[in-house]
Amino acid sequence: MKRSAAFGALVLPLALACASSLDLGKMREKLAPRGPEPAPQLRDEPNAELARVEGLRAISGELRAIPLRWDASREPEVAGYVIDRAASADGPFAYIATLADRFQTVYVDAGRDLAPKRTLGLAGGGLAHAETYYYRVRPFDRSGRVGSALAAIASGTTAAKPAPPPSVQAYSHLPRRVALRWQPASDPNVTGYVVSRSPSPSGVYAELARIEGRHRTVYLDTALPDLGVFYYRVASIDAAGGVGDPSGAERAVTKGEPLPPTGLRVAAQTIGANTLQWEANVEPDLRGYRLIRKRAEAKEPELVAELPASASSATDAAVSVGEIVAYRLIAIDADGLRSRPSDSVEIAGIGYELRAASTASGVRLSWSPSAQAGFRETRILRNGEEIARATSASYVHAGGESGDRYQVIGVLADGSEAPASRIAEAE
Amino acid sequence: MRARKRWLASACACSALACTTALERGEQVYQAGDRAEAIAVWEKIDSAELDYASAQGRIDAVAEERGQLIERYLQRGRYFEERGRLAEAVLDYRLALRIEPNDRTTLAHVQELSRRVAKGRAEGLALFRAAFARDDLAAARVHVSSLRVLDAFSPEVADCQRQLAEALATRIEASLARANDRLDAGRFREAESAFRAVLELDPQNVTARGNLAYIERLRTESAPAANATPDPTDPDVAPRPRVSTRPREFEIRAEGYFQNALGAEASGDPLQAIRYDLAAIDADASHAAARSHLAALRRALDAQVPGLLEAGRRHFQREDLQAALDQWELVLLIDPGNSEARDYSARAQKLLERLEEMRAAPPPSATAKP
Repeated sequence: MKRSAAFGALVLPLALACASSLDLGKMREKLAPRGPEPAPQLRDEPNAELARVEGLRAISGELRAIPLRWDASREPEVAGYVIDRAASADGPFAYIATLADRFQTVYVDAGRDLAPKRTLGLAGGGLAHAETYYYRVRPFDRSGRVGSALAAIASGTTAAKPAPPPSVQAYSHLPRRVALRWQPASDPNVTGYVVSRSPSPSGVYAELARIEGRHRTVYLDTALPDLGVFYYRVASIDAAGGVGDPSGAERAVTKGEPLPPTGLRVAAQTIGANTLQWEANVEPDLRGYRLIRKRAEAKEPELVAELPASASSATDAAVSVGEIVAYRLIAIDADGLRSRPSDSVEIAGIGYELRAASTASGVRLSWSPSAQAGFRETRILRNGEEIARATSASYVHAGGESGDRYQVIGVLADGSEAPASRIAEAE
Repeated sequence: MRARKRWLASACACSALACTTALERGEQVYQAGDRAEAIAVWEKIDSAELDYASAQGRIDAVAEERGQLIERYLQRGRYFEERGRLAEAVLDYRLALRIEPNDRTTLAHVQELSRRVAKGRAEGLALFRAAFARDDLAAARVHVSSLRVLDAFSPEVADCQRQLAEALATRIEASLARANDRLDAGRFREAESAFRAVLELDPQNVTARGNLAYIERLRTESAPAANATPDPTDPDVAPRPRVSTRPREFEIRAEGYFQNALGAEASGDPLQAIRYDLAAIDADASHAAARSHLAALRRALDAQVPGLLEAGRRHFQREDLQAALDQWELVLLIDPGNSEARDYSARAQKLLERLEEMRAAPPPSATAKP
């Protein structure tokens, strides 16, 4: 191309200088670059005088293609070559291409022709992977007669489909996802991977993703159910779009929600407070527990406390005297997965068991010594007004009369007050 | 106009919902995977209703199916537990619990097994790391194998396994290369020692076993020439063997498998020996010794076939599909053409696949209820 440009630069000014004596149009026609001569129409009539093509070689190992090379014919009569292909050495050979130049001695067969191939129905046509084909190349002369000398035959085999990537590994126990990783395929023809998944090792594998890039060797399968078991396979894709055999199946299980806590029980009761205990959960990444209370009259349960994983007991200090409540416990892990609730524990809160009896010396009040044991002192109210404080579980109100209404309220060690008792009327 | 269309659409939707019978609602819940809830829906159908008989039929069928599923998961859990595969056992027990959440006994057992898995894994990982740190790959390999049995799902164990595999591959590759160099040079004692070093790291390594068998054969064949004068410059060089060519790679591997078969038979595991013989024949179809050894083993074990078939049937009746499959696969090792075992295996395999498909489905609580 450069040479013809330089030649043009030299000759054109000269030609223009002589324009008066030369036909400029003819000059341009002569100097214009010429393309290859069109191939002559091939004829049935053979030419026995043309020597056969020598040095035919087929190169194996290419992706869905077989390059062919041969030595250029020394005979000036040769105008080009006809290339035929067969699926076996014995033929039959079918025409695949014509090269209209004696020195055009290279041809890459990618199978873009209508001649028969081994694999039918291959997407995009062309040669398949790992197939062997046989070739012959025959010369033809300027009048289109093809050489009839016995042609040499060469065979070539296309590259096999890519091997699966090594060391495919699936990571289990991830919350609602599975991570896959593998080593990059060593074959530089590999351009990516296909990841597929099945619920059983021998089941149907559905394609999940096509990943582009030989060194992109991770995949995250998300939005999976808790405690789901899946099998994964990874196959390599080559530059010709060929998908190789998949790797062996790798099993993975997603993280399960924590187990429901067990052993929930009432460990202690005081007025207005229930203390619950349970067995520690087994999960190593437990974030904590949620203690849930359902009051007998309430429609919905309510949260009592959120507790750390180290906790194995909790006190609910917001129950009324003698109130019936039900408790459940839920475990929560570091990923926020929640267990089913534990078995329910139903309990009636402790009461004061306050009694008010009229005696000769006044009204004698008495209440549960076990309730009193949890208090620093007890406030005693008559008709809503405090009349005294007691440090034992009884009190005599000297001025009391039959029909008076009494209540007691325990005062805890920290000065706070337990819920008030029910009202007891002196009899 | 648009508002009217919307009204019509919502009216149609409402009427469709209203037209859904309790029987159909139960069926929808069942299709979503919640058998217990489906049964509860059907149980609410009054005996005066037209669908009552159909609902009762569905209740019976689904209750039976539910019970069967629970039992299959529990049996699978027991199967794995008996073999020390505790994490897999926990998984199957939990799948049973998913269907029957009120099974206190199984829940308590799962808690106990989970504690054992956690403890065993922590101890095993510590042992592995110590062995790996002191470069005792053979011991590290044993610890990783035990860990894989105990907890097949642990990412930490998987990482240890990968770490070990890389280290072993490098070490084994180097040893094999050294052994092959020595073998090529005729230094048989050194080659033998290098191949034995490979077996210490990977006791079933077929290349090492095959080459050791080859060296042994060379020794036997060159024994008559023992009086020949060795090269004084290298006392380890054995007399040139009369075996003209070294076996090809696939022949070495086949021989390695065959040697493993002999080893398995000697250690009282003839079924494993059959597996190795089959691998030998797969590697080299012309391995005559493996063929005749396989035939002899099969003849010797043939009398066990009826017992194995029956044992499989018993497991199958108890819904222990995995154990049943194991028995029938043993039958097929001994008698590959046994049609009974083939049919039974296919059936058990199909049921197991169904169980496995269900494992991949969202739990009933996660499915939308109609």
